Amino acid sequence: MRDGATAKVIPLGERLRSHREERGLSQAQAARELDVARTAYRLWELEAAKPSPDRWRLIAGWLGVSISTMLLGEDLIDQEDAAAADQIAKRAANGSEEAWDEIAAASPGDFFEQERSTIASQLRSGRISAAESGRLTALLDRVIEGVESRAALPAAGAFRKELAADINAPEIARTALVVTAAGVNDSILDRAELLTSELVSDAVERSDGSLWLAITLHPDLLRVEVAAESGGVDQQRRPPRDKRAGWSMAITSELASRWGAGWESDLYVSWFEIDLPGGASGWA
Amino acid sequence: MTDLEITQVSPERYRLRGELDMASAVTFEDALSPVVQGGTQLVLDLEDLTFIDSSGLRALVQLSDQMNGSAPLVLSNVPHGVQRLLDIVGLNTLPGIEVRDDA
Repeated sequence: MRDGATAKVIPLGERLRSHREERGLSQAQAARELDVARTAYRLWELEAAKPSPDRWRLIAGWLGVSISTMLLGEDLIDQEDAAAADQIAKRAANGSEEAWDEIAAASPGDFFEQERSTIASQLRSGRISAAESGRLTALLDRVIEGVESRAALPAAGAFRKELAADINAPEIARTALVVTAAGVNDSILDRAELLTSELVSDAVERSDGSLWLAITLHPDLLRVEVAAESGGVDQQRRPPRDKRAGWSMAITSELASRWGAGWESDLYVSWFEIDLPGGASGWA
Repeated sequence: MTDLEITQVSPERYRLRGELDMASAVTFEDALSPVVQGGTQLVLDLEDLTFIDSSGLRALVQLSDQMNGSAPLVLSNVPHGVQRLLDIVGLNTLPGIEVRDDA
């Protein structure tokens, strides 16, 4: 960073959550305002999924920030680029920040086409210089590259994330499951959602640190695994022996095709699998 | 944070909308513990309860325990998926809980 007073970059997920909480909205209400499924919105907040470029204008407008600021939070551009882009757009519009985005939003095509045609029209009308146009175009190319390389990562079918072992972990894990296992039929997904909630609730009661959640969707099998950190082998925690643990066991043995749990040094590892119909393993 | 809305629809009847798990069990207890401590009857309408797990069941049973046998905790309009869970864990057979269809 060149100047010492540079503001901290706020990741998009954090920005969405704090804006939503400031307005006293639930995730479901925020999702409605942004015209997106609640599961998708939840994953945005968790940084476990990224909104597509088609959503960027709406999200930036909802947050009340410029698109460059939003892309900065998405790690798609750096602070210097974001500041330059904002400055060029602002000057082109004679001090009004909205104008650029309004022109772009009214243009045909997807986000990138809209931005390109806005750069071209602003250049033609002499509101930006050729150098500025070149800088914005190069920046746009880098953003496209960033989005494409992100899309190349395996998104659906596999999910791995570290979660805090607190009471919110079961819901986060269920959301991740629903998105990762998209396409699996509803009754199996319901079963898997419940089993995941049981697995993670149990891990939360045993752990005081982090959880690692791994969800893998194979053609014939859905597998969910949770590893929970404990304070060390001497402090292996048992959940309180209340009714819940017994019920959780009953539910798991009733609904999972296979499951298991145990200590691996200082990690408590538990997992379940569900055979998917049409797959080879279900009826072997 | 898990979404759970608890609405009072009549003096003794509350409707749950959303999901009841480890996180929303806290909301559930905060809202309904004071109600049962008044020693009243309580009917929970579960029609819009879209998810419940063992932590949610624990919250139901703890609430019924607080009623101390004065009246059963009545679960009404129990969705199919929730009913299946009650069957698996045998919650229907607990004396403090009554499943009733009185829509």
